[in-house]
Amino acid sequence: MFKDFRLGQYMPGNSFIHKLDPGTKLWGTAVLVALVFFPGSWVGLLAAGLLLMGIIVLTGVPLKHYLSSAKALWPIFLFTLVINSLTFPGKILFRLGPIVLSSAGVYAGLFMALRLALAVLVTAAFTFTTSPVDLTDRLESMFRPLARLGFPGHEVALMMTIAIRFVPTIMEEGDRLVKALQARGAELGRGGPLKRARGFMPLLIPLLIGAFRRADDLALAMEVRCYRGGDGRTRYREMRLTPSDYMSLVLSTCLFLVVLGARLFGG
Amino acid sequence: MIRLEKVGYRYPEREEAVLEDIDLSIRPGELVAVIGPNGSGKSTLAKLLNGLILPTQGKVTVEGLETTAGDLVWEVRRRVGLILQNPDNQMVAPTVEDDVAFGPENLGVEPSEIRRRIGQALQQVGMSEYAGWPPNRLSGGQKQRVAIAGVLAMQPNYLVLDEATSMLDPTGRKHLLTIALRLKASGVGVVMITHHMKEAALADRIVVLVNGKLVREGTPSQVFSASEALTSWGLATPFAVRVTRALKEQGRNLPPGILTVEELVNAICS
Repeated sequence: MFKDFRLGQYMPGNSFIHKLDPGTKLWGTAVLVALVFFPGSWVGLLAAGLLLMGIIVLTGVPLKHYLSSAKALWPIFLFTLVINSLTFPGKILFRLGPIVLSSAGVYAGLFMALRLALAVLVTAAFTFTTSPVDLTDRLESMFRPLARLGFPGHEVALMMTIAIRFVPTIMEEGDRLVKALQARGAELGRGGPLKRARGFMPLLIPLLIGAFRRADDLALAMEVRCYRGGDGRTRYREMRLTPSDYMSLVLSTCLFLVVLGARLFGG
Repeated sequence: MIRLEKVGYRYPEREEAVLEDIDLSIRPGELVAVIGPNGSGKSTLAKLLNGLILPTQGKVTVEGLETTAGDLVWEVRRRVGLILQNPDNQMVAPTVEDDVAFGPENLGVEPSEIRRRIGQALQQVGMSEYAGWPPNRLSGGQKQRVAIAGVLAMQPNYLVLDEATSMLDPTGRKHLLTIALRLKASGVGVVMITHHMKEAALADRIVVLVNGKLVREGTPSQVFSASEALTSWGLATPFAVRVTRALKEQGRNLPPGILTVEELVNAICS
């Protein structure tokens, strides 16, 4: 039940996009999401979509992974489509009692659903190509200037690192517990929602206790290795921006400014 | 040298002392095994050696640095590495190399030097090919080897293994012992806290703890020759020692000092 779980969606690779700095990709993602949501016309959305397709091809990650990540969210797309179709004023296409379907509504609904789908693909391109380890390292260095304002950047990054490290371990433990319970005749995941939820209680408690025990051990192991907070600590991964990072940053910033300008001054 | 002088330890809320009057020294390049029944204070001893806890009586010094002296405790911990029992709970980072880097990063070592140390430490424990691996894909033995690499990257002078082999399969255990012996040969002082008499037999010196007191100290053959005393403390002698004694009682002529099955086989076949 937990076996197929993967934290994040990182797919190791060697593409141009994979090699970009996580910070660059974070900014690129923000720009692409803006590109998807700013244009009011189909032409603008189509252009954003084409750019996105180009980037998706560049990532070298098989298209089916993108499709399955978009597929997972289809109820949201459908919901957007239906709500927009039924609430938008305009020429009436169809009427059934209080339910009114307008052509402008369908149009707006399709537009919005497509926007959402593209936004999902943008974030998928980010998570597929960015290792969580690199991302937390970059976030830690991005948070560093905020330390003076009292923001615990190092601690947040360390928490993320430890979470990434222990989620698979705790998943495996959950798997073992499920098997142990099933071997003794427990019927997990059967019956109504209430019964199912109750079935998970004997799983949750040992899992929690186990997690606390691990935390105790881990704290000791960290002390043994001289951990004493973020001050005076070095990082062995040196985060350096490459020329392709600068190029990507400049390009995406220009794009952002163009789209922002178009949005603000008509078009 | 790690030196314990009249060391005692008592947990704050408890009446009874966990350790009492321990006098012990550990020299570089020496393998010392600590054995004793459950609750004899072995793990407490391990934590005293690198200042994780401070003695409530007497003092512990590591190469002249007392473990009680404020900021010096970090230097003490750098010099005395500790490996714990559970292989699953000692790795901090999501990949092997990030985990080995954790110690030197805490010490503020330069990135280029950290990279060199990661390479070296992983090579010392035979885990070089696993640098980018996540811990949940490693076996228990491999995880313990990574834990040792993580300590070695801090360039310690002493290594304390607190029942580090007790959760491992025989292969993992063997690998770990080989590494411990190799480190000892390279001049690191190794303290091995163990339940396995077979492991203790590999040591230069065995220390027996019972009820928080150091009751015996000597070479493996000295300690194992007093099998009645060991039995009364709930400890067994190694298999090879028992067989040798039984054979001698039946009149076989065997040389003294046999501790391992290998030595026994050689003695019988020669």
